[in-house]
Amino acid sequence: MSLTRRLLILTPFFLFLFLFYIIPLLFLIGNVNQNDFISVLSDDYIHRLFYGTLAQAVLSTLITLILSLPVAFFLAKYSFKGKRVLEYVLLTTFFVPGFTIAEGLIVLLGEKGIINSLLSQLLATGEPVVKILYSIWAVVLAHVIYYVPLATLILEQGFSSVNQDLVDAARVFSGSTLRVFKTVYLNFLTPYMGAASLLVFAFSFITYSTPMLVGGRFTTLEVEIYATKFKPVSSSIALLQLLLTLLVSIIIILFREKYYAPFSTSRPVEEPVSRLFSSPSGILLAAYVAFIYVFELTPVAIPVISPFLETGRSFPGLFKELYDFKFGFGLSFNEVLFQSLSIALIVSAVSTLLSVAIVWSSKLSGGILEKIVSILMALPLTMSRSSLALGILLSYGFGVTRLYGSWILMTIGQSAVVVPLAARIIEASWSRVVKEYREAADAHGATAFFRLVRVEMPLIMPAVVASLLMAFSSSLSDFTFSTFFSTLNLMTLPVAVNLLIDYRRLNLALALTSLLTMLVIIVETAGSQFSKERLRLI
Amino acid sequence: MKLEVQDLRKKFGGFEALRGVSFSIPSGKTLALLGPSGCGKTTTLRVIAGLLKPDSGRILFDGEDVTELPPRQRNIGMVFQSPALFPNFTVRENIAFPLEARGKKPEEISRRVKEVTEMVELSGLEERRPHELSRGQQQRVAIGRAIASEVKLLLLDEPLTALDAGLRAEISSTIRMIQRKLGITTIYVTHDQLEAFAMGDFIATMFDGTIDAYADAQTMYAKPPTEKTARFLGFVNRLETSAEHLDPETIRLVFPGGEFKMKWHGSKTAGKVAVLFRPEDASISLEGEGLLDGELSSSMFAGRNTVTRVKTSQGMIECAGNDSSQYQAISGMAGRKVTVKIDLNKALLIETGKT
Ligand SMILES: Nc1ncnc2c1ncn2[C@@H]1O[C@H](COP(=O)(O)OP(=O)(O)O)[C@@H](O)[C@H]1O
Ligand SMILES: [Mg+2]
Repeated sequence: MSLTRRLLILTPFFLFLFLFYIIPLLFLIGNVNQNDFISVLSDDYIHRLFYGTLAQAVLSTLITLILSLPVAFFLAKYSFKGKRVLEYVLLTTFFVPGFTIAEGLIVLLGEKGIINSLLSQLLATGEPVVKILYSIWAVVLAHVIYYVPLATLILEQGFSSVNQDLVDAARVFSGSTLRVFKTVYLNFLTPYMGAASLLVFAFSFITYSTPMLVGGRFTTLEVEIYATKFKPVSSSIALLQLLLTLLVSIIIILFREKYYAPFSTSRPVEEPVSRLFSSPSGILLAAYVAFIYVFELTPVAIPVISPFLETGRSFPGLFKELYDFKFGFGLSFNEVLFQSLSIALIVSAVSTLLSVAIVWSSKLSGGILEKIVSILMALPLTMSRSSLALGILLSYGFGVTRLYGSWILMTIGQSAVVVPLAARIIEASWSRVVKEYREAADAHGATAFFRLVRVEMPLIMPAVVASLLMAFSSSLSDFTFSTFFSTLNLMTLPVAVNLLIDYRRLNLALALTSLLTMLVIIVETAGSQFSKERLRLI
Repeated sequence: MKLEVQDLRKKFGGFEALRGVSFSIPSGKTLALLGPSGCGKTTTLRVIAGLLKPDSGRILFDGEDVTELPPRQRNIGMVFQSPALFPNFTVRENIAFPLEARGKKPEEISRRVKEVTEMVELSGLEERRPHELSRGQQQRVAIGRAIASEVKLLLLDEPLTALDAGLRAEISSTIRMIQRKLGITTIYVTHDQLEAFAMGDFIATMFDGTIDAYADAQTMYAKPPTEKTARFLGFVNRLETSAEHLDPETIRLVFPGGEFKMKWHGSKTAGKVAVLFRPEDASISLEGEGLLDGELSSSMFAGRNTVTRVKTSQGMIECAGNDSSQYQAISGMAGRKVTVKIDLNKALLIETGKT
């Protein structure tokens, strides 16, 4: 196939890249005033934001990694009934929307929150004891809770990749536990620790809903772009943040290409979990794992169940009140629900269709082009979403298309970030359709299209379903594009949650969050039945 | 259809997998492509099927250059090393695939699928899926799929390798039956010489990306054209000696234990020759009469016969010509002087230089 032909085949990919990234980013750059940008670079306030964002991301990464290591070791090393379920339960924390956990922290750590009420009663002080809510510490805590499952999963793969023969050999020849750890474990674990750190760092760096909801006066560059979105300076901050996050993304990609061989299939020798309880250090490990589960699941469980436990009022009453609430310019709950679900359905269909087209065309064009597509598709994962949102607002929001206030704008924004994730799910499944099936189809007279329809599509169907569900739930959980593009007439459920919190109607916000979180958990659980690739972020 | 393959070359990165592969197959005949694993057999097949572009070289079907054609326009059937059946298809759908892909009419498809299913002895299993079949049945489906559409060329890539011994015999007889019936030009790839001799009208041996020798099956068995091929086909023993002409067509080989006269069509002058022979054609003599003296270094009971190794002035000689009833007697003789008898009529003579 000629190069022109191969490039032509890639039309779906170029279309996606162009419409969803290049045009918005060109508009963003075009909107940057050179003097603004220079003053942003030397502005003290921006410096403080940058260092604050950085410090917060570094802290989140370090704490997450340290907390995850023992759990990962436990999950990799010990076998017991229901292990898969336990692993999955941990992951629910990562699946739920970020604002669920933020609200969990508000309920737990607020001045009159559960923990402070308990502590002040216990210590008989009238004062709240723990005062970390609405500070950088609450943001770090939320990130740690949110990313421990992700880091644990990656590190568990690391521990599983440790070759048991090497461990035995090291033990026979050296004896010292520390030596064994240094010579064998560290060697195998380093790439996985690198992967986990980079991802947690990058995600924490572009955090948005968490500082908005529990950061108080602490804020980040990503939020600042939103706060200034209609001011000219916003583009300059966005460009800065875009460059910073692109740098991080490139480092992640280089790292992946060089060091990281993900998800080795070798299963290590697992020991029965009962062995743990025969030594004090084993019991300590078991207790620690139990603690982490409580630590991880409480902030999810609280917003989900608290509306049902509300004292002095029956929960139907609460939900009735939510149902009757008027949002924005008098939008009813039904209208918000309808807007949110329609957008989620459209994002789900559009992203999945685009992903299949992109993966199919990249596989057809093959070779170096396929590689380039895969690298470019990896960039958006850790790229600044606020910058992209601002770019989309600038390019499609006003001017010729004038989409500001239309659901289309939200669909574009959400699809832009969901397509690369969906493409990963599809691609992974596609790669597992063994080469022989493709060759057998070709050798026996199939055209590329006949092969796609008759052989490839049916084989990747589970991944397509998983992708549809994942995109649906991502759209429902999306906070960035939703808040960026919402107006008083157009709203999604997360925006409604945000609004209720702003109006200090925490109980209504929790009622809505509870419903939304349950829906997301159901959709994600269903999705995980179809594909295991949902969490393969690196 | 006559197949010609001319000077195929293919590099993977810096590694030359094919370095000038050429051969041709007369219409309706079967070529067994025989070579050790990794020599480039599968690569050759994939290039002929059009699944892989060669860096250079040509492929001709009845004189027509098809090198640039995509696989679907070459009209071939192929059986892969693994059955590569579509897992989501039933037996019927797998066999129908090439017909559907070529847009045949439904009546024609169902008629042909019925025929083929009977031919590969799968009647009654049409609605099963691959995972509900045994390995042998799966391979039958793969064969059925390969011949379902009227193909001009059949490519079989080690179709028996993954099967156990009993199934091999069964499937290979099915393949032979189909070939007799359909008379399709066929390439049968294998690393097993017995299979090659059983299946091929012609045999080509392949090493390191090139064809080393090409001959009809009888010639290839009795007088392999090159020393390398001869060794691969079991002529593992090698003796050097000199030959002198008695008359233009007869030579005399001289061994320590005697002389031997035989027909010879080589060069007219006498000279050094290498004598290559199979272990089956050599035995140790218990009576002390033979061509070569040596010391028995080991003996092994090998079922039908006794395999011995004899250390001679010309190196180690492997003999398998003694039957196993002699094992008791032979095993007691380790380290003793023995003589080796060789059936030189079955040996291969190669000129190595002049005296
Ligand atoms: N796609 C490929 N990329 C790189 N090397 C390959 C590829 N296909 C085959 N090879 C190499 O080419 C050589 C010949 O392979 P193959 O044709 O499969 O051998 P055979 O079928 O005779 O065992 C092997 O060394 C193999 O590793
Ligand atoms: Mg092969």
